[in-house]
Amino acid sequence: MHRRPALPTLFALGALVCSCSWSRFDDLRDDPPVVRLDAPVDIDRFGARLASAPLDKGGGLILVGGNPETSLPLASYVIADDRPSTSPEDRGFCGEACVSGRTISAWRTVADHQGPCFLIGVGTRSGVTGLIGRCSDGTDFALDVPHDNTQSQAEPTPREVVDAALAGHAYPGFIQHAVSAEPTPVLAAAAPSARVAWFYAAGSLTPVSLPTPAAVLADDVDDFGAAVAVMLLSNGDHLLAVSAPGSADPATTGRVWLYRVDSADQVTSWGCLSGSFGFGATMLAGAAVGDASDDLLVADAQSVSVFDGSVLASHVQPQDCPEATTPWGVVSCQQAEGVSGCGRAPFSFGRAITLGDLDGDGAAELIVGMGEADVDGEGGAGAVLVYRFDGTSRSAGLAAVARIAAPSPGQGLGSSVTTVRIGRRDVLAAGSPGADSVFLFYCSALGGAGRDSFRCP
Amino acid sequence: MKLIGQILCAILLGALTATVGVRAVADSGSPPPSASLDSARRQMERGQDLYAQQRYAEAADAFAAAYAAEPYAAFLYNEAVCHQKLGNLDRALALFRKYLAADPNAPDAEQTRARIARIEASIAASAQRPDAAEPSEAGPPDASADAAPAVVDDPVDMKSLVIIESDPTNAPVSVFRKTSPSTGPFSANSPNPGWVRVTSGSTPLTTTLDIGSYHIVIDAFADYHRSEADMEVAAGHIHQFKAILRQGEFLAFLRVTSPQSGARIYLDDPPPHRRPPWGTAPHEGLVGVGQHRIWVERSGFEPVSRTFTVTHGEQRELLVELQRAPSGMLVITGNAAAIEIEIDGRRIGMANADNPLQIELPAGSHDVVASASGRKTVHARVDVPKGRMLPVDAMLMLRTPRGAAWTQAVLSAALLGGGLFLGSRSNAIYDDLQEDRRAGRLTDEDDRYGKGKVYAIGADLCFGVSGLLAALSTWNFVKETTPSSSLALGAPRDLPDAPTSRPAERPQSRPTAPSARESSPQPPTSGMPRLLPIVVPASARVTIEWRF
Repeated sequence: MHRRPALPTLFALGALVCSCSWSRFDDLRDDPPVVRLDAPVDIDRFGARLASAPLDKGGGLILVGGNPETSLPLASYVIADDRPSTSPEDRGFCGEACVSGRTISAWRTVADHQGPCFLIGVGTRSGVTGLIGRCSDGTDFALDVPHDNTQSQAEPTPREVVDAALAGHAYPGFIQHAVSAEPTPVLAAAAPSARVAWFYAAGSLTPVSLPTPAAVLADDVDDFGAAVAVMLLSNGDHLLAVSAPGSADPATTGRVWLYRVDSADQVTSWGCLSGSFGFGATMLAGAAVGDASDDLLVADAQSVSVFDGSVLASHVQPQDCPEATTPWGVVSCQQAEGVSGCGRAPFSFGRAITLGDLDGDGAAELIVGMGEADVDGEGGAGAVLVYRFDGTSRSAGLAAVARIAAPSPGQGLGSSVTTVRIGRRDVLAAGSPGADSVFLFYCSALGGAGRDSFRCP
Repeated sequence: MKLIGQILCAILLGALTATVGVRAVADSGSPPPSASLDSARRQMERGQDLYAQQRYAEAADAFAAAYAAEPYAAFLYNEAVCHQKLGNLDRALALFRKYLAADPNAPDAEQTRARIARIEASIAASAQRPDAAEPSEAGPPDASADAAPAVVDDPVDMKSLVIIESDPTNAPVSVFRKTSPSTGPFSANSPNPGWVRVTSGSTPLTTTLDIGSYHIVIDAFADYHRSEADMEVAAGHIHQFKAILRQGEFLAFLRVTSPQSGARIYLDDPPPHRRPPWGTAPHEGLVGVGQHRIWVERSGFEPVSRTFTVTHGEQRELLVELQRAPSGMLVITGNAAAIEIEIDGRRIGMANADNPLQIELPAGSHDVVASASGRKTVHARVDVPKGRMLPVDAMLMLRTPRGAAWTQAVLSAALLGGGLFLGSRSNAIYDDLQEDRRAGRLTDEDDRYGKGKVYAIGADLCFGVSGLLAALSTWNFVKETTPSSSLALGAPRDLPDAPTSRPAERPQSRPTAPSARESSPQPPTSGMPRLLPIVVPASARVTIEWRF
C-alpha cells in the first residue's frame, strides 16, 4: 500500500523533469531580445518606411509604412517599455486625397494638435493642399507648399507636383522633407522634379522658398532636393542642407548646398559640399560629434561622411563646391562575422541611417541599415551596422551588428531604421519589408544600458 | 593334536577287501558315496562267494546288483564271466562289449576283445552243430560240461576294483604290475625290469585290475613328496587306497585377522603381487617355518605389511588393522548429457548419468563446480571422506531464458542512444538559441524553438522508454523462473575391493591431486566437433561443442 502513492509521485517527478527539457524553449521564446511588431495585412512591404517620435509619458511612437507607391496605409505602435504591445495603436492615416511620401518626418508638436505628429505624404486637408501630417490624437493637418517657381519658369511648381501626385502621376521622390530635432522644429522640404526647396520656420505653416543655386540651374541638375536635412546650431540658427547626389553632369554631381536660417528666419546661402557620385543620396542631421550643434551626415553608395555642424556653421563654405570637401570623418561599410555585401549593391550603404544612443553612454552611435546585406549566406537578409564615433581619430568604427538569429533570403532587414528612447538608452527599430516586419532590438552588443532589460541575459 | 595329525605326513594305504569291480565313471573326481559303495562291496563279496561255489547264476545276479549300486565296469566283466560259465554266450558277449564300452582303456582291453572274438567264434561253431542245444532251453549247463570248448581257455578269475585317492587330489599316479614272481621289488630311480605300467592318471583314479602284485607310485607334485606303495590284488575285491601326501617341510599354522573383513592377504609375495592372494581376512592356513612377510590390502585403506617368524608347529595369530587411506573418491553423475566437472579450479572431465566420473581426491573439503550447456552452473563445497566413496549427483537445472531480456536491453540501449542523440541535438539548439539571445538577435519567430522542443520531447520519450525497458531487462535478467542447480551428496560407501589385478595396474603412490580414474565421457577430440542434442520441456536444440 505504500507503493501506490510513490509510483504516481515518481511519474509526476519524471514528467516534471522531462517537461523542463522542452519548456525551456518556451522560456526562451517568451522574452526574446528581439521583438517583432505585428504587421497589418493591408500594408505591402511593411517596414519599408519608419519614423519615431518621443512620447511625453516616456517611450516613443513608431510609425511604420510600406511601399509608398503601392501601399498608402501606415500603422503606429506605442513602445513604452521593454514589454511593448506588438499590435498597432492606430492604423490608416493617409486616407482620402492623400499620397504617401517616400519619407516620414516626425514632428513632436503641431499647433492645435496633440503630438507627436508625422508628415506622411501629400494631400488636401481643410481646403489646404500640400504636405499632410497626422498626429497621435487622430487629427490630420496640411502644410501649404509654394505655388510658384521663381527659379525656373519652365519647371513645375511644388503645388503642381503635389497636384500631379494626387492625380496619380508618378513622380519618384516627389517631395522630400526633414525636420530639426527640437520641440518646435524647422521643416525643410524639396521637390526634386521642380528643383525647388523651401522651409517652414519654427512654428510657422508658411513655406519659404530657398534660392536654387545657379549651378543647379546652369548645369541642369535634375535631382536637386533628393534629400534634405535640418541642423540645429548651438546659437539657435539652423543649417538646411539640400542635396543633388546623382547629376548626370560630372561637374555638378554629388553636391550638397547649405542654407543658414537665422533666428529671424533670414536665409543665407552657406556654400556647397561636394563628394563623389551619389554624395547626398541620404542625409541626416543630428548630434554625432558631440558638441552643441547638430552635425550633418551625408551618405553615398560606399560611405557616410560626417560633417561637424559647428565647423560648417563657423564660416560660409565655398560657393564653387570644391572637388572634395573634407569631412570630420568618414564611415565606411565594414563586413562583420556572418554579414557581407559591402560595395556589392550600388547606393546601398547609408540609404537608411539614424543616430541613437544604444548603450546609454550619452553619445550617439551611427546606425546604418544594410537591407541588401547577406547574412549567414542568406542573400538580402539584411543587417544593421552600428558605428561608434571616436573623437580622437575623427572616425567611427563598427561596434556592433544587429541582425536576427534566423535570417531568410530577401528579408531586407535594415531597409529602414529608427530608434526609440526607453529608459536610459535608445532601442533600435529596423524595418524588414521582405518579411513584412519591424524588429525592435532591446539588447545591444555595445553593453552598458544597452542591456538594461530582462530580455538581455 | 589334531593339528599334529594334519601336519604329519603319512601315506596310508589301506586295502579294503571288496568284490572286484571297475568303476565305469572315469571322470568322477570325488570318491563314491560310502553307502552305495558299501552296498556294491557287499554284492561284490557275495558274488565272489557264489562264484567260488560255482553258483554262477546267483553270482551273476549279485554282480548285476553291485553294478546297479555302483556302475563300475568291473562288475560288468564279472557278470559276463558268470554268464559265460553258464553258457549264456550271447549275454556274456553283450556284457563284455558293454565292459569295453564303459572302460575302453582298461588294462585288459586287448584280452577282452580277444575273448569277445572267441566267444563269437564259439557261438558261430555252435550254430553249425545240429546237436547243439540251446543253453537257455537245456537249463543251466554244468560248469564242468564245458559246453563251449572255445571258452574254457578264457580266464575265469573275477576282476578287482582299485580306487586310488590322495590328499590333496590331482596327484599324478601310476600303477605298475609285477610280471614275474622272481621280479625284485619296485625301486625308484631304476629301470625296474619285470614291472609293467598298467595304468596311470591323477587321483582319484579308479581302475580294474586282475589278480596280481602291483606297485602304486604317486609322483612328486607341487611341493608334495613322491609316495609309493605295493599292492596285492585279490580276485573280486574292491581295493581302496588313500594317500595323505607329505609336503617337503614341517609347517606352522598362521591365522590372520583384521577388523576390515575381506582384506586381501598376500604371503611372501611383495608388491607387485604376482600370485593370487593367500586369502582374505580372516584367513588361516599352514605356512612353512621361518621368516615370512604378509601384505594386507583393501581398497580404501592403506596397505599394511608385517614380517614375522614361525617355528615348527607354532600357531601364530596376527591381527592386522588397516587405516583408512588419506584419499577418497567422488563418483559424480548428473542429469545432463555432458556435465563438465571442475574441482579446485581445475577441469577434471565430463560426466553424465550413464558415465559417472570417478575422481580420487585427497580427503577433505574441495570446491566442486558442475556446469553444462544451457544449464545453471552449481558451485559447492564437498567433503571427501577418507578411504570411502561419496556419490555426488549433479542436478543441473535449465537456465532461465534470457532472450526477452536481451531484446529489451538492446532496445533500451538503442533508445538510450537515440535519446542521447536527440538530447544532444536539443541541447545544441538550445545553446544556439542562448547564444543568439546573448547576442541580442533572437526573435520569437524561430523554427528552432519547435525543432528543439521536438528533439527534447523525443529525447525524453526515448529516455523514458529506455528506462522502462532497462528496468524490464534488468528484471528479466535477474529473475529466475527455474530452481537453482544443486549437488546431491549420497551416503559415503566403502570402495569396492579391487579385483586381483596385475600390480602394474595399481597406483604406486597415494594421490596428491585429483585424477580421473575411470571412464568418463570423452571430451571431443581436438578439432572434432561434437553434436549434443539437448531436449528441454519447451523445446529441443542441438549444440555443437568443439574443443581446441
